[in-house]
Amino acid sequence: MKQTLSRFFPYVLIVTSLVVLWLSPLQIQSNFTDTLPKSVTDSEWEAGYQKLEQHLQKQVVFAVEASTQENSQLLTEFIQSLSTSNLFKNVIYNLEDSEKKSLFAFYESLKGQMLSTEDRSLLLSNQYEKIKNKRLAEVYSPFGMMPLGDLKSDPFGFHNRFLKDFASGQFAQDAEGRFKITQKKGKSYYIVRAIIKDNIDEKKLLKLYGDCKLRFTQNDQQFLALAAQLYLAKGNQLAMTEASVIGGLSLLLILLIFLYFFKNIKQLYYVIILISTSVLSALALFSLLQSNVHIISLIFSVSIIGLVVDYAIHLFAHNNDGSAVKKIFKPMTLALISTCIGYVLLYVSGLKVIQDTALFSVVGLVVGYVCVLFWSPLKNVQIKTTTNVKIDFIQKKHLWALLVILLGLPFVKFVDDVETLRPTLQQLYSDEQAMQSIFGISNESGYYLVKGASVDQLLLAEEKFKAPFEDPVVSLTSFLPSSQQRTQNWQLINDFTTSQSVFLKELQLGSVTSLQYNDLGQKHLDEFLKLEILSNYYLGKLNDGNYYSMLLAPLKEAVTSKQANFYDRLGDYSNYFKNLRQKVSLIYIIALLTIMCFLMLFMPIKKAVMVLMIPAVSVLFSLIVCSLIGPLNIFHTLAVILVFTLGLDYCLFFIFAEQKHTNSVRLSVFISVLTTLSGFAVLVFSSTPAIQSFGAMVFFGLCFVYLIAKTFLSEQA
Amino acid sequence: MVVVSKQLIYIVISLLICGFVNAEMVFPPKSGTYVQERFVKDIADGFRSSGSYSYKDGVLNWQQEKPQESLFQVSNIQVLQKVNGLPDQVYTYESHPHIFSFIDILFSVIKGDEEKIRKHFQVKQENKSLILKPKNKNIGAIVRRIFVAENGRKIIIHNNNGGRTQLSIQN
Repeated sequence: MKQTLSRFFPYVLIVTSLVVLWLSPLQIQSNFTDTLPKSVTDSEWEAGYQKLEQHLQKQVVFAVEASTQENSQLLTEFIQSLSTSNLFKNVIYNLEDSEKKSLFAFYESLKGQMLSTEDRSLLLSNQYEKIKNKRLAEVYSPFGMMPLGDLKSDPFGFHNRFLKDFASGQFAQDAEGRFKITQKKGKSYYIVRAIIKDNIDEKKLLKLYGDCKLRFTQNDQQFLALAAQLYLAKGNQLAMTEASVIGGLSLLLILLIFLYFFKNIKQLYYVIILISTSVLSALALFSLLQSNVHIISLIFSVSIIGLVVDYAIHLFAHNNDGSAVKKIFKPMTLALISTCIGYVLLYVSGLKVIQDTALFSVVGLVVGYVCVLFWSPLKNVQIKTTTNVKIDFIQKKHLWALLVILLGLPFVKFVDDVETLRPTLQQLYSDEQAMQSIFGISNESGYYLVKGASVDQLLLAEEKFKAPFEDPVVSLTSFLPSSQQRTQNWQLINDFTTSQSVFLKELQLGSVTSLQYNDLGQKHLDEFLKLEILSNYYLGKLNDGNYYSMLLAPLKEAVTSKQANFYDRLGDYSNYFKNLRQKVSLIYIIALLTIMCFLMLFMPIKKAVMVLMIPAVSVLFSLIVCSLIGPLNIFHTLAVILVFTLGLDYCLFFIFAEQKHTNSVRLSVFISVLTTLSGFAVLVFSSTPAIQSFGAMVFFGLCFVYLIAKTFLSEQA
Repeated sequence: MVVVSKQLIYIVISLLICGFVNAEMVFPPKSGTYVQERFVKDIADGFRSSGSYSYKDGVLNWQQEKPQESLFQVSNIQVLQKVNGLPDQVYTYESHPHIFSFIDILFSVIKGDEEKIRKHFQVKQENKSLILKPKNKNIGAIVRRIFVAENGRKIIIHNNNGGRTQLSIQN
């Protein structure tokens, strides 16, 4: 019974894990932002931040070049294809007649309170003559088409000029009412805003973007898209593709190494079962504890494969010399406990992706450890001792040359800006640049949130915030000024009109009907705020009880206050990463000291210090080398744990191996390093900065660990 | 921007009509004077203005003299609007390309391009008057119909907003 159990328990674990995974499937997340905490600040702006984020993530803005009738046909087809794609809740490309009517009816009720920017400025600066001349030009011009129907009530045409200004500015439309921007160079772009449905298939969105891009480009029309979702989808697609290609390639390399060093294919089969048992058990436990795991956690956690394989390789190497389990029990147990201490301490980092990595790794390692010790078929696996591999290629005197690396110490610099972690998505980035140019937005602009205890307070706060800007900024107050400004407009118009009785007589308008000041009723205001055209500016009343709006403004001129704040989610996350990096660094120091105390129970202090110093120095060297490639980030910091635990693993095996190292023991460590390096070397070529940084750090770190440990510890033993 | 486009439509219409009458649909006069009366709903008297116009070397000058001086100078490169006391307004192809599609019609009228005129207007003769109805959607949005009488000396343009403009042309 005992024999049967020791022969088949990994299979039982695999089957049980598969059943658990089938009954309680684990969702794999690929969106990086899902790994971040929803709130990284205690900011009183959090409600607005989250709403704005939601708003930006849920929309795609398209700009389609269409200057001719033929081009316009393709545009119509494009708009239809968006509506039928089943990806969008709403496609906004024009001001519909009903909305236009509501908007103009709303303004009609505010007649006498609305002014065009130019008129308001002229009235405020008492440039009455200019207003009169302008009106004369409108009334007498042979081609003047300004409607004159309301001469009696609005003799100077302030309201009509406001409407014309409004309709020909940012909200210009073509004959069919579609939103259109004409650039100085004569190119016309149609603007389409599409609101993305919940839980869409990202691949479909990317396909739609790709197909449209191709179609318009073939027709010599520019097609641009701007959407946070597209960046995420493209980034995820890239990460998934790379994870498959890189994962496949590293697995292939590892298999080739095994085939070279193992005696037959059957041995390889045992290793695959061992890896499967560890990984599936960890996944099954995960699925019982939570419903999802992030792809980054999975990629990082799969590095436990490296550790489990290392345990197995050490066992196989000692199998060559007989009584293997007895010989490897102590180093392997110490390595497992030390590694687990490191991972468990990482759990307090608070970042879910790291916590998941820690949990996954510890479970996988423990299962792997149990299998290596108790799975009977592994005891018959041996490494080819006849392999003629020259592993004594470096000597102590050569190693001093590594100290040159320390010259790079001044270059070690951490950059916590999350922007640097964004994969290079050239096409989307160039779309974004072109779009900014079309909208006349400087890339030195950013989103701002404005809030107020009531809608009117919000409007007042916006006006105050916008006051210093040289260029007009489109926002909620472009549609509706505050009641304070509306009252002032009304007063300005009335004062001016009253002062112009002689002029009015010349215009045959002796009796002017005074306009009544109409208060804006709540019902009327609510209906207005529901208009679709405002959805890009007005965020509504949020759960903190305040009313919010957003606007895009130049960073240089903006002044933040209690009512207006820069939406700097990236900055907040960058700060968060900075704090996390510092926290993780502190955890490493605590882990280092804890592991040292633990190891001192089993070996002399000198050896314990040496076992710990080798991975520590290797980490430093690796950080220096990586900083010569590019600035260091949070993922370099996270990779330190792997360099450290794997390095510790190798050092312990060197220390606890037989006094006189046999070829097979030295070979086992060499193969362990070789398999691990093969896996991580491939990651260096990833275009996803997180994966690339992680891979480079582990690769260089383990190279240094092996070189230093082999040279120093071989002699110590 | 929108206002200017509509103003140009008026220039086109006025000269187009001159072309019909003065040279039996061939050439409009290159220069002349005009008197305009603009009638607005609910106001009994029209707003009267007068001035002159001329076309020379590819530039049309539309000069209003009374009651206020103003000038429209139109070429195929730019449109210049000068109004007393206000800063000059210049519209170029780069900034307002759509305006220049109207200018294209305008100059084809001056050059007597009958084919282009018929492309944009439906022409009907009633007694001694001509009635023109715009075929073009953009022009149709502003002008309902146009009467041309007295051998082209009198033109009445009916707007879509209920008002009308009477134009008397003299060589």
